[in-house]
Amino acid sequence: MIELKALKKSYGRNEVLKGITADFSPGKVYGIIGENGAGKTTLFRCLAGLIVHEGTVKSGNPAFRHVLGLLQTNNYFFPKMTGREYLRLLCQARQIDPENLDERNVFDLPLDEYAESYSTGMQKKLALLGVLLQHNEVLILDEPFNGVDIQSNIIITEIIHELKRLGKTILISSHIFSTLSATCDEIHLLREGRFIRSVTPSEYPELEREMIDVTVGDRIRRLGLGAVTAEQLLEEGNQYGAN
Amino acid sequence: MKDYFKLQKVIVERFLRGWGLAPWLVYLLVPILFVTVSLLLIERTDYAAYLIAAGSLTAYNSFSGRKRNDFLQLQFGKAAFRKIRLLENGLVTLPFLLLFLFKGFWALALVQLLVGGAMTLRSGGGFSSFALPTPFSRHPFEFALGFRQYWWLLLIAVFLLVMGIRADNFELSVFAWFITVFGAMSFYQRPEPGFYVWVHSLTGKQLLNRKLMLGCGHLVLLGLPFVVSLLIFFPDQWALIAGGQLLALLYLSLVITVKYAAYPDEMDIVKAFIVASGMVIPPLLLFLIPYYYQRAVRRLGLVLA
Repeated sequence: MIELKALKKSYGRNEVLKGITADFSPGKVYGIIGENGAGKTTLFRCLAGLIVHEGTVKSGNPAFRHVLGLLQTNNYFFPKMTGREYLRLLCQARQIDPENLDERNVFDLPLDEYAESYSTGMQKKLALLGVLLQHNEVLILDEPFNGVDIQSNIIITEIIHELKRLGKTILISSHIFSTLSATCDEIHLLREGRFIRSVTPSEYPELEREMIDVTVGDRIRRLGLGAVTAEQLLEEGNQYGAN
Repeated sequence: MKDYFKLQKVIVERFLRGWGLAPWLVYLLVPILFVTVSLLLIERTDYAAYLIAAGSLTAYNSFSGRKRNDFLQLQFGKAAFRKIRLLENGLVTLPFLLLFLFKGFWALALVQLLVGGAMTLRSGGGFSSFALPTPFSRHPFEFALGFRQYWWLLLIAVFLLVMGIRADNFELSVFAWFITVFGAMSFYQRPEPGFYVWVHSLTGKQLLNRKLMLGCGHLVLLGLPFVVSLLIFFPDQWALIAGGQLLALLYLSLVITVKYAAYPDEMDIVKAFIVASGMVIPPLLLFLIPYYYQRAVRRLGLVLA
């Protein structure tokens, strides 16, 4: 069980997290949703202990950091480091023998090419594979579906189901609601640095509808996409030309 | 195009100020240092000129990144882009060219000119995914990446070693070996992003010990062909060679400890000066390494707590 109590984080005067309290249990998948800049990544970095914060993160495991896997939104890969070397480094960092990498390369990545030359989706899959090979008990996956192809999307969803079955604690953020509703036991809505709502699967359709209403609002109408057609514009242009 | 070069100047000066250096002082000292050090090196051995020429490759290479060149070509168009590349490479080529002409190395001056011109055509494409095999890949990352970055320096070192052996010149041969040592030290000049330290399930002390052991092991492996060649061709100098190996390991240990004593910040100018002092006055290493070791353990402990 991971317990967050009054977690706060500010960057200068900008208070990103304004006191987050939540519990995350083993064998469950938690989704975190929120707009860009809502504080999802900051929350994950606080949880991982990568940044200093106020409030507490408690876990039953005294070596919590050693069993925590973090998939970042944007993963940094050293220039001239191959995919295989990246996986080796992550395994060795956790004292795990990096064996059978080719067999365990479930995303069919070109492991002997430079990771820096991979596409966005391939880099995401490499970073995820690295986290999975570490056999972590807790997994924080920041945008795991971002940029990956539909086949990998299916594989990642199945991996999350398997991790849940194995009793791991999983936190996921995603901008694609359907990926969260397919995997999560609970979704927390993060807005302006606070969890303003936490919902269970039966309430997902309602949350999705509400999000669409709040997010979209009258934005599409304001764009005025249907107001003038291209033909009309062309006609107007011809008239100006004639004048 | 003029604005582009003005912007480059602003960026460079921003970096210099960030390192605590006054730009005018750098503009004054760099040419003086370049000429003085180059002349001193060439005075000791003519072969040093090859090393100096190779130094320019680093600068040419830094202008050849694919993303950078794609961006420039897209923004300025093909003609202006070519002019920019020619001007940049021309600025790098000029001091080397003048130096070689002054010293009468006509052939090298011509090669420098040709290489400078040819490198304007290199835009990083085609090399992006091929990974050069290295003997260090089993334990990434510093030596594996450094080896791929500076493989050409290793070739020069081998060339100088062969020249040294052929000329029965022990000093030149040792110099060639130490090119690899200095190269290896440069693998540790930049701090890695926090994730690459955080990810270890080790204490600060354990991680630093691991970095030191791996670094020293890889350094011995990198220098092995040089040491063996020296022992075969200059067997009488075995004591000096052994001393050199010890010194090389201490140099690398100093750089690693100083790097992590500053972590996650970059090594500043004061620490760079201290490293240089330790290299010039080796007995200092016996005090500097333990001192920075303690500090590095503390700094790493902040991330790994």
